[in-house]
Amino acid sequence: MKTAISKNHFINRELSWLSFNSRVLDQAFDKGNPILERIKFMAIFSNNLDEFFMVRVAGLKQQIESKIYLDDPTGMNAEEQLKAVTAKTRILVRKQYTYFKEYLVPELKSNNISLLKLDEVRSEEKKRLKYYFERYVFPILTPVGVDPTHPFPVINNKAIEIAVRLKRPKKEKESFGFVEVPTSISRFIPVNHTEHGKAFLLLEDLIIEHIDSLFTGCAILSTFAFRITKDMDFEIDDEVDSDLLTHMEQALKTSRKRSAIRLEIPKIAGGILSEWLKEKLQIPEELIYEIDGPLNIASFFEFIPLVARAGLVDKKIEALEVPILKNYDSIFDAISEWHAIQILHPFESFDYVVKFLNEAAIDPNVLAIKQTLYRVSGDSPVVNALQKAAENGKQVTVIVELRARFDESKNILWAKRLEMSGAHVIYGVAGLKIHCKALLIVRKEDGLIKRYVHLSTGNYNDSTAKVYTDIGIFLNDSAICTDISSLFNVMTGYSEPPDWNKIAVAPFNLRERFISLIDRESRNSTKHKPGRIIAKMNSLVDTEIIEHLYNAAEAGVRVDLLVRGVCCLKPGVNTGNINIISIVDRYLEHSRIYYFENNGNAEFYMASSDWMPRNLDRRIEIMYPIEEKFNQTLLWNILNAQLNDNYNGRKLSHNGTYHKPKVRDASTRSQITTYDNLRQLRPAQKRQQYTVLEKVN
Amino acid sequence: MSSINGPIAIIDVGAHFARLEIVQVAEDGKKYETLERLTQVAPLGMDVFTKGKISTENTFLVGKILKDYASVIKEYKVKFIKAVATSAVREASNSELFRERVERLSGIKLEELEASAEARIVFMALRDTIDESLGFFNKNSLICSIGTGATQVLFIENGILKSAENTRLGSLRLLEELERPLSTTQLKEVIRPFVESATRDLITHSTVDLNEGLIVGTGSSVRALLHFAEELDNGKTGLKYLTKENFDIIYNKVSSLTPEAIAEIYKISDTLAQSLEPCCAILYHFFHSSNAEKLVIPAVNTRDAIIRDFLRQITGGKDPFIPYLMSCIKTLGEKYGYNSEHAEDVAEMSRIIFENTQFLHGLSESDALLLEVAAYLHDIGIYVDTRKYHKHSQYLIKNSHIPGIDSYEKNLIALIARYHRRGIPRNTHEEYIALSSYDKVRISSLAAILRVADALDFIHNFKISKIKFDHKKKVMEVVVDGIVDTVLENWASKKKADLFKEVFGYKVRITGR
Repeated sequence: MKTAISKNHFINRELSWLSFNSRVLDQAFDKGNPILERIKFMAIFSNNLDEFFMVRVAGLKQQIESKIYLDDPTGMNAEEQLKAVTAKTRILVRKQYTYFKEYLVPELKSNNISLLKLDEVRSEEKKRLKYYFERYVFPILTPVGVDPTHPFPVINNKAIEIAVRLKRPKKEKESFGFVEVPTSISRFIPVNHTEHGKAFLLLEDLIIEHIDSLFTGCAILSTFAFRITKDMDFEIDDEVDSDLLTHMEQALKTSRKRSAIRLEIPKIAGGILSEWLKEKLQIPEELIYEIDGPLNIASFFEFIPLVARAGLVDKKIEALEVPILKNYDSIFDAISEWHAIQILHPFESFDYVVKFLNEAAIDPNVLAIKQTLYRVSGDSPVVNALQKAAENGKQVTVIVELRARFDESKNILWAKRLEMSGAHVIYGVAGLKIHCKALLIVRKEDGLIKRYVHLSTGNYNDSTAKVYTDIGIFLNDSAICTDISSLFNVMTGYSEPPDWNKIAVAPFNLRERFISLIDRESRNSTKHKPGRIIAKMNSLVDTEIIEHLYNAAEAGVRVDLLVRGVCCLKPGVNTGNINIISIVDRYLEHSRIYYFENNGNAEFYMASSDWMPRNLDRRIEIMYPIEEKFNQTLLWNILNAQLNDNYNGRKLSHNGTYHKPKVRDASTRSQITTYDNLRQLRPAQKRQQYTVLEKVN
Repeated sequence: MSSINGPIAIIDVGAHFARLEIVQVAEDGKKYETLERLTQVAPLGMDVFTKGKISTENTFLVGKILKDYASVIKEYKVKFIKAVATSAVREASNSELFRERVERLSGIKLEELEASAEARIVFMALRDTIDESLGFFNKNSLICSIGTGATQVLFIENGILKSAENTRLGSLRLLEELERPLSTTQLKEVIRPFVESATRDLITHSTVDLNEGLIVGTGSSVRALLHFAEELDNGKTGLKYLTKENFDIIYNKVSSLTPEAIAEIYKISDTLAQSLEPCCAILYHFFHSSNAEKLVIPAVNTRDAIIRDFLRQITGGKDPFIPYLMSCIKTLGEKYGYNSEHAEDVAEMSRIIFENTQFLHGLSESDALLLEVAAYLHDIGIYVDTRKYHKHSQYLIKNSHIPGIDSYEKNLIALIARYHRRGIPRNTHEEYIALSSYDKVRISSLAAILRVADALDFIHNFKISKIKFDHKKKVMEVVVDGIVDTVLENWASKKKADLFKEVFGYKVRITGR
């Protein structure tokens, strides 16, 4: 029996995202986390929120302004959504700053770390700071006056600005000015000779103190620091949803204005200057946030290393070695023998991928290397290896997805470097963002061509591999190798999509494949033998998939979903068969695992894709089966550990809220359990061994 | 047979697509493994069937596609590349220009795969894959390979290829050639009579009796009909053939749907969906006019046959098609009422002389095949008229469809047959002067051998027992069994060895034993 799907079955996507960010904030409130980790979660919360405003809130605002409305499955129109979103954000931000002020600042202090105001600094130190200002800060400041001959300037997105109200000599009328706080020097200026231990002054406070030196001869009437967030016309970040933007772009291509979406001003700011600013920026009241504390907490990412020490940050967890790889000098040999070697990052080292590439770069038998690169780190060992390979005469093809139009100078540099070394660099596929992570190496062994692939849920980025939970796999399965070869031919524009052997590829057949796997589970499900789906992903948004999940649940299938971020499926409507857990913990949950019980012949898949329309329809994404038993065991254990996580697991209830476990049990913390499982299982790894941990109740 | 080190690449440019396949022979040396399979849309068929030639736009498109393919080929360091163009290019009036331009753009030289070569490929692919239980090897069958621009019709007797015809009746061409625009109902009304007139007498003229035999359908549009067959078969794939009733159900279903609906329902491309109705009309005609029992739609892949053929060429293996070629040659001879005994004797003696004179001509095994075919067919011109019949033979050979023999080779065979009597090759003969000097020497050498062999067979039942050479006197002595004096006298007067002497510098003498 199929239920007609209605708006009651859905949670609004924007509100669900805010719930996710609220769970991030919870980590900042969690006394179980060391103080600097809590500051880090606060910074993540703020950073996420910035991007949310730039893309999602901007999108809502555009819908309202253009009167082009997008359907929302919950039936809320853009005005209602904007209203709900701003109200919820206001509560979260207030919570954030209250907590920051009342708990985190005192706790930092008790650890001898202080953020000082200028009046807390001793006078001799003030002199030194004045010298610092004159020597290092003043030369890079650009004061801008606003008067009838100087129009209102362009204010940079996310920059901290200082607004100044002033009176020029011999002028009747007051005028106004701005100074942008530069980001080229640290925002956190160390203050010496204090009784406060390690102490810092914020750069904007130092500038405000000396603001008169920038407007010589003028009387400074009032100042305050503020910050605006703008509507950005590009995809900002993978972790924040932005397909709405792509959608809107088509309708608004020509009339697009990058207007201010949010204004953050200090709570204490008021009076003429504040009124003038609000009027000039024309930001509606609901998008103005009064901040009781430092602006831009996201910048506290750079604060942490300045003060980090043992006890204040998480204990380092050493990436484990993979025992079966230890016995081989060559990763190629290891893959030839084991056929499928799965590696769980960050618990296990990303170095194997780098080693694999480095080995390929100098191996005379390697003919070609093909790789997708989405985001790489600054001085990426992956890029260096590829460059070396190209210089050694290998045919190197790199498919680069440029993330955004503006901040790409870094990416373009390394891409150019690769091109110079002889690699064939392809910048994306028209209309489709490349999100799959694949590496293919063609090697000639004894006159025959052999191929090796590495597939992953995470980017080829050695830095994020230390903080995201991703799963990579080395394979030599010839069907998959052929598929990946074809995939590269599709991405380079050399071929139409073929009939895939084992993988499924978006936007060609991935959606269809997911749906058919879900539907098969429904068909197979009987009263005595219910079907089972366990899916782990970052976001669940896609209406069609949700509909099929509902149908499966109604057919008796137990549906367990591990959705870290946005989840638009509202559980508990009509059926109790859907269980949704979100885990936000030390490492960013990033791997996508899909499990289908298939009448006792369970199938495991991994994918680069979430269940979101953008993944399934507008990106190149792949899903591939995990067939080897040991690898399945590792995945099964992750899924079970997460479903049983009574530490950081949050269960989504039918009213759309997330609930903490009634009794918090640190021994069930899934990221730790996964690490421990690996330590225990790996040494015993044998081919075709299958160990199943206790099933969930 | 030498082994192949490294992968090989096969490119084929058809009416809809340009494809590349890179394969390598597995360690066992028999199976091959596909490493890469690339497909790109290249709608040459539409160009050719509507305008008669390939547009500049599509020429550049194919150039670009092949350039991309060249870079994939480079990645694998492929040494052997075969690039063929099929029906669309074959029939384009600007085929040569097209191929030249594509080569310039991509560095890949495209060769035209002629209809006769395609027929051979279709047959070999089928022979290797068809399920024996269907009776292919002990029944008569008609292979109907429906392309977009042409349909190959192959007549098979107990698994042996007898003859082949190439009709300019393709699934897309049919639509183009009918006057348009036509409504769906109009189309149905005109399509069947059109097919009937285009293929008139094809079946009745064949000696292969198809009553209760098989129709074997191949080609992408025929295979697409299997989607409908699955419905008959409840989605099982066990269905190996269609009865007339089943086929008619499918035909009706196809006719009842618009191509757009077919494309949507069965998830096939629009061009393929468009081609189904004409394809059914063609099959219907053959199925009903032949009174065959079943329509078999095997999962054959002609590319597979092309690959195997190419692998064989590289390794120098024996061509498994030769027996079938000879079977077709004999069918052709029969068609023109040849004297089979004479033809076989001449062919055999030609072969003996060819082998014994290797040191004189230095020609290859494939040249021996040209000679053999010419030997079989040299007299068929008598069917037209006994006067100047060597010229009629030349004409008939040149204009017959012989699977496995391309037009270039056919021209050579026709010339060898022509020079088997009367005037020897001269630089005043139009077709002769058009040949390269290498071919002129080849033709002259092979015709010289054929003339000697033909002259030796004016009395039956004798055999060459030995061939001896006197290099000083420059004499080739053919020692034969059962010879009588009159024969020798006759021989001297016939001057059949004049060309031999001119080409090789050796006189031919016949002695008895």
